[in-house]
Amino acid sequence: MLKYRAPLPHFNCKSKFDKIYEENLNNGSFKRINNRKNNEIRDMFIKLGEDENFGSSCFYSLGNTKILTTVYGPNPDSKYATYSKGKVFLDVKSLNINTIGASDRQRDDDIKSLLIECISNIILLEKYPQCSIKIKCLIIQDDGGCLSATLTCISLALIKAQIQMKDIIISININSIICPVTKKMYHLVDLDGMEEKYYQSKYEMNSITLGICLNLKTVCFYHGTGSFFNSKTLAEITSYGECACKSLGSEIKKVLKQYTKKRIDSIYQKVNVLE
Amino acid sequence: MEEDDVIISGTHMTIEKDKLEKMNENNFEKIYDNEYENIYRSKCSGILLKTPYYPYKYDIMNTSYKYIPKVGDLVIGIVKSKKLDYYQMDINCNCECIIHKIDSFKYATKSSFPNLLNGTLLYMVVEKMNLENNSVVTSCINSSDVKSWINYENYLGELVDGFVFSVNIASAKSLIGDRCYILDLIGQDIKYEIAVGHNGRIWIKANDPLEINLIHSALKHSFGKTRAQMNVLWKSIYNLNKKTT
Repeated sequence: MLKYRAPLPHFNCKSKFDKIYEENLNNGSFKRINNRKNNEIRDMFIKLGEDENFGSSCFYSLGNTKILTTVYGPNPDSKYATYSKGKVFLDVKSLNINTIGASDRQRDDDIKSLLIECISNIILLEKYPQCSIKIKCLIIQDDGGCLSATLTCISLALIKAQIQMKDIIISININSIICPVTKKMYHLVDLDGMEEKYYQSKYEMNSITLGICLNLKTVCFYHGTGSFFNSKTLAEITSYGECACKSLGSEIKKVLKQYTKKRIDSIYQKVNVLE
Repeated sequence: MEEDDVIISGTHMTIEKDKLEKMNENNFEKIYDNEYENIYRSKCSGILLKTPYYPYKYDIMNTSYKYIPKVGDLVIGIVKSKKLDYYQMDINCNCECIIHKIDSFKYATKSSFPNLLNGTLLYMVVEKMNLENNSVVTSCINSSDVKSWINYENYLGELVDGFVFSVNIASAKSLIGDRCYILDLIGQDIKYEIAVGHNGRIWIKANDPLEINLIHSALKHSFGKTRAQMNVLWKSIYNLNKKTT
């Protein structure tokens, strides 16, 4: 019977993550634990839909982070909206089970008020007097980068609903890490949940969520947490995030144009050619 | 700043003045910039295509259900409420739409004006738009009508009986267009009456509710089809009806 016992690992065996960690320390470069480049995002999936009765919706997934947004309106509302401007209502719900507790709930309320303020300034509310616009977000699965994905999803749903906006909002999540040996800073784009937990335990980490108007080239959303913010690191992180947002935004716009062209060309060009 | 056929809502475009006259200006809004002139922002997404009816301007076609009102459009409205001098209408947009009781109907006076209940259908033309307080004034007076509003024989006016359903705006525009073959195919077999509004509402009236259902199915499914496909579609729907009865 002793022959068939499963072999135990060696007493000084290291896990895969620890091997990558030691390799990063020795080489002086940085390698991620999920084989992505530093400026590479996860797989993105966008689905836009509309119904004649229930408004427009957008499903946005980035890896395992999945968000569904529905936009109702603009509907005439004499109770809340003022005579000269409309009003935006935002409702964000999460299907995840929160294990942290009260502090997380208060932080969620702060972030929600930030989101409402950002979206209210982007939508041209003076075009919709005495109207209200209701936005409902459902966070189906949260695997990191949830705030930036929510903001992009809301923006795409508003585009589908044809609500007049100043611009499209494109949002992305940037994390900055300081190597403890060489004191060099690395910028990583779009971490997932496992990476967030691992790097938080091993390194000093800054996390910034940046939202950019694509055509106007202005920053419309800025939220960050971390321990080593100063003016030099902030400038570096912001410029890096700005480039990442522009790349992501041009890709999203290109895909949207192809989607629109494919959808309507199949209706009209067939008729034009054959008749 | 880009010029393309495919337009996404919120895109800034450079449009010259001669190009703008060929377009439906209602879908764009001018932005006043220090560096550039003729910069417009699009209000909706879609593809710039020529409308299939007079005056054949370029318009943004999409599969949306939201209507952006324009002066001169024919719309089907539903009476929401009755006020002192006017009725409040619902024309499937976020604007407030009103129609005057006396001024907007042919030969209406203070003693004889139409007394419409809530939920009545009206086929109207958009007369005025006020973009500041987001209101639209419509009318039921057509220049070629000679009868009074009492007779229900005018081109515009109250739609009595029949069935109303919603389609998207591009589908309504294609039904309004010149070469609309599905209406001719239906007219060969069934006598019917139809009113198509620019706001995506269609009203049908026929002798039998079953015939109304046939026309409704045909119009729903004939969007984006070629002429031969429309022919086969209508024949199959009509023959299916004959088999069941």
